[in-house]
Amino acid sequence: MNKGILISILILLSSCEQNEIPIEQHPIGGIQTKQIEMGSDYSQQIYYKLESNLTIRNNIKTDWDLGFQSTNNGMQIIINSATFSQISELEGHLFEDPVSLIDLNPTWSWDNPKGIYNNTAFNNYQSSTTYIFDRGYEINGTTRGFRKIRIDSVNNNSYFIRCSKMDNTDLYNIEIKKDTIYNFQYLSFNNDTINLVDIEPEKDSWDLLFTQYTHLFDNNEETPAYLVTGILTNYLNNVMVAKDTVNTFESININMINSYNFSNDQDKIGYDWKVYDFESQTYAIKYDINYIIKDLSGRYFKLHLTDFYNESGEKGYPEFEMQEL
Amino acid sequence: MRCLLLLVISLYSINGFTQDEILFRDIKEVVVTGQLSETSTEDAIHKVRIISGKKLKSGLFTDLGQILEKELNIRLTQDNILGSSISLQGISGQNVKILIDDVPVIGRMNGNIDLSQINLNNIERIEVIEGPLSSIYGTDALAGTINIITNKSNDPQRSINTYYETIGKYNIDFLLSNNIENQNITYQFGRNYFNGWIEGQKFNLVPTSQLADKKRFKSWKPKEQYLNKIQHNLSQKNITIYNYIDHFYEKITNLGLPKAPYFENAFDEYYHTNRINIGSNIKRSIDNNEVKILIAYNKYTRIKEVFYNDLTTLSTNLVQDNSSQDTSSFNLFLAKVLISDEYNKNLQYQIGLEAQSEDAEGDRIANNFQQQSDYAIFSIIEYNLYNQITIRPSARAIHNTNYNAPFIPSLNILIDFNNYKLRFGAAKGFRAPSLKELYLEFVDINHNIVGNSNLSAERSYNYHINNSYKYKTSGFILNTDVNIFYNSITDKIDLINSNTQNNQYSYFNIDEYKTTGISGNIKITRKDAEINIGASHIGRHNKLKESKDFSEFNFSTDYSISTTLNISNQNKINIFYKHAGKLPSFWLDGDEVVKSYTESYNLLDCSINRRIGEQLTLSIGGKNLLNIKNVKKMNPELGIHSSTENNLPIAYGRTFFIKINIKI
Repeated sequence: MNKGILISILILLSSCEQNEIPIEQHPIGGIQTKQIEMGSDYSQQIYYKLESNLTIRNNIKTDWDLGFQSTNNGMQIIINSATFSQISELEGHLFEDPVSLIDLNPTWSWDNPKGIYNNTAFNNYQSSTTYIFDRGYEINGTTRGFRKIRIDSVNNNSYFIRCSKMDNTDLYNIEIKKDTIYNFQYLSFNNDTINLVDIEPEKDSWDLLFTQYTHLFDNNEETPAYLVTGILTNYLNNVMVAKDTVNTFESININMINSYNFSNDQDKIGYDWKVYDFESQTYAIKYDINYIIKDLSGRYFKLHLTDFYNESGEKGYPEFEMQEL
Repeated sequence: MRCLLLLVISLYSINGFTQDEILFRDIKEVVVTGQLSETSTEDAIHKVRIISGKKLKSGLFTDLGQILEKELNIRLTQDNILGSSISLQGISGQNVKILIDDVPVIGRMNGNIDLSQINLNNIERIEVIEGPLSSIYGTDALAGTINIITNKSNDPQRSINTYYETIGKYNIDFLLSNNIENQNITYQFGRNYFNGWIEGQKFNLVPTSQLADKKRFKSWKPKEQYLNKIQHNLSQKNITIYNYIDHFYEKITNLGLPKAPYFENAFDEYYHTNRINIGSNIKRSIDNNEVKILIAYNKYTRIKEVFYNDLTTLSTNLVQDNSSQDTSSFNLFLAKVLISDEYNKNLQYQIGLEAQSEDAEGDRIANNFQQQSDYAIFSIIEYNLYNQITIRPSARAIHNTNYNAPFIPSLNILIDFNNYKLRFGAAKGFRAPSLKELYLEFVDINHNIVGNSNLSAERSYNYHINNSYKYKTSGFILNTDVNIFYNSITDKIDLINSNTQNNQYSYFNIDEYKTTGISGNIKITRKDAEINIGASHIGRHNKLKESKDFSEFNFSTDYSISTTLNISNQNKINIFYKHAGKLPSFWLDGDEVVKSYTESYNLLDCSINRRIGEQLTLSIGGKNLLNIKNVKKMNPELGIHSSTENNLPIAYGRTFFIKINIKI
């Protein structure tokens, strides 16, 4: 028996893991890219402007609770939908009555994510009605508690509201002054007190808001509302969006503008540009959804999402490509 | 393929025939599992199935899962990360006890042990007992017990095995054994490498570097295993001692699909499993008095790492997300003393004491660490009547620090009419709630799953009858077996939504499950050939079925044929065939109970072993010759509009292998 042959057979019959060969990076043309850092816990709300491709401002999503429309004749109130907060009318009780949630069976409602003209949780509030406000969840998932709220009056310059905890402690009356250079004035119940907080930048300074928000499902009794992560628009200042899933991102040009149906729904971009793949347990991007966006000053941009992870593989870092048309 | 054939032909022509009886010698079939002392299979009070050296040496099987898959009453399920698991008598693998020399194998992920991690190197035989052996082996021994008996012979031997399979498997192992007076020391090393496979992959004799594109993703994951074992035997007149220490390491590589739209990044997962087993067996026998002491320590660790890979530079980053990375670790200490003696010629008994301590560590276990101790006393009495009837009652009493363990009795009867043997058994079995089921804590913004510390054990009742008949002439031996069984499991543990307010899931003793069946086997042994033909018909019943008007049990029928032919003293042919019948199952679609089927499939393996000279044995063959890959799971009630038809991975299609064994 030739041992040499045997040994060479043995060597032939073993193998080990081979290194891969790197692929070539895709060519980058006149397209601008941007990654928005919401964080893997989705804690950041980030305001972004298309024209400069810059983030204008950011805040922690739990920094505020209520927003008050800031135009002279505006009287809409929004709740922080990034914390999954909700509102219910306190029926059969006065504001002063101490109440326990266990005895009540509240019917909760939420703001429609399309915007304030499509129904808000406060809807047509009356000065005689007291509301229970569920402040939703902290970033780590714990609950933020409840408040009683009554809107006493609204005029061209101010809102007057009162609020307290359910057991009537921490009772405050507060005046919220309107300022027309902003969309909303923001109020926070953090630290067992009540404070006006500076959240949104001036209303003509931003186009898109990257945030968690509460999505409402139609005809779903089991899960009527769900917290999602996505993109909202500055819809109160003429930012409009159209979707194109037929043409490729590269082929979309200015001549096609008239064929699109632009919408000023706040959540037209929304959250469904990504899907969770249960098999690989990661988010996949639907990069073939192209958004055509008309910005504050009437310029047109095309935009599509390309990633949801940063270079360390953490989720919560939506990345997109955009180009002015 | 062509180069393989050339190799075979050239090896064929190297040597002529030499006489060698040893290679094809029959190993005498003895059994130890559940018996008072080593007994022949024919006299054992349980019906024990032996998977013997013949099958092990056919070269076809490289791990425990593959060899069990060809057995009747056993089905194998594949998961590309968790590995292969079995069901026995229609009952899933978490209720099957897996032992190596009577020591339980640990590391149950999702309740199952990955059988592809159990190598067949230096194994003497595998003993399979269907039905509960909980009175002897405690928890998990409910559907059955599989005991792997390692080779503890004192033959000094040195050998190298090398194995190549055309799917991209490259295995090598060697054994060095030496005797010093009445002691033997053996060292064993093994390395198994699999390069991964996906449908449509090109054949490649030797793996080469590949471009990091979409083809990097494999449905059968690349795998590398190392094992090292040192064992020491000492045999004197009345005492034998066997000590061992072994280490097993496995790495599974799951290169992710590049992410759209630019396919420049991917999540790559790595699973590292380490097993360490240390133990000592001491047996002292004087006349009919036998004392056995077993001490063992097992450690299992599994680490999952996820890296984010930039495929343009191949630079990787460990993902800083707690839910991606995971480490689980289990430890088991076991001490067991068995004393067997006889009161008189017709009355033998055994008393056993067992102490076990088990712990689990991991991020998803409450307080990251939980421990439980288990103390048991068990006793067997074997009473012989008129030299023909053996009656064996046995019982086990348990104290466990974490849950209320049940009292476990069982009764076996053997009626012996020489060539005809009748066995009856009635036994209780149980599965203790695992530390995960008791103490899981997996709560974050997306999940709310917690363990239930009030769980009790899953319990089962089993009844079985076995008829064995043996007919012997000068030319051949005929063995026939007919088995009938019934299992009823209550308090089965299931994960359910326990609190709809906060969507919390937890474990409860709520489910029930029953199986029943009949199986038959005919074995004909001649000097130059052995043929085995078997069939089984197993029915399954679960609670879901009650909500709809289905018949009580839904049956599936399996057949198997295996044969070994000694063509000459140098050449042996092995053929293994199994038909796995259409398998019905039930699941919930919303609130609707639907019935679905897993299609039937056939597995056929064939190998030739050829002895060349004194030192070399060559095995070549084909595995899965009928080219089975995925099997359809269908839902006939939803009709053709349904998209619920999906595929169950069974195997990676037809492959060929060559195995060379060299004795040095």
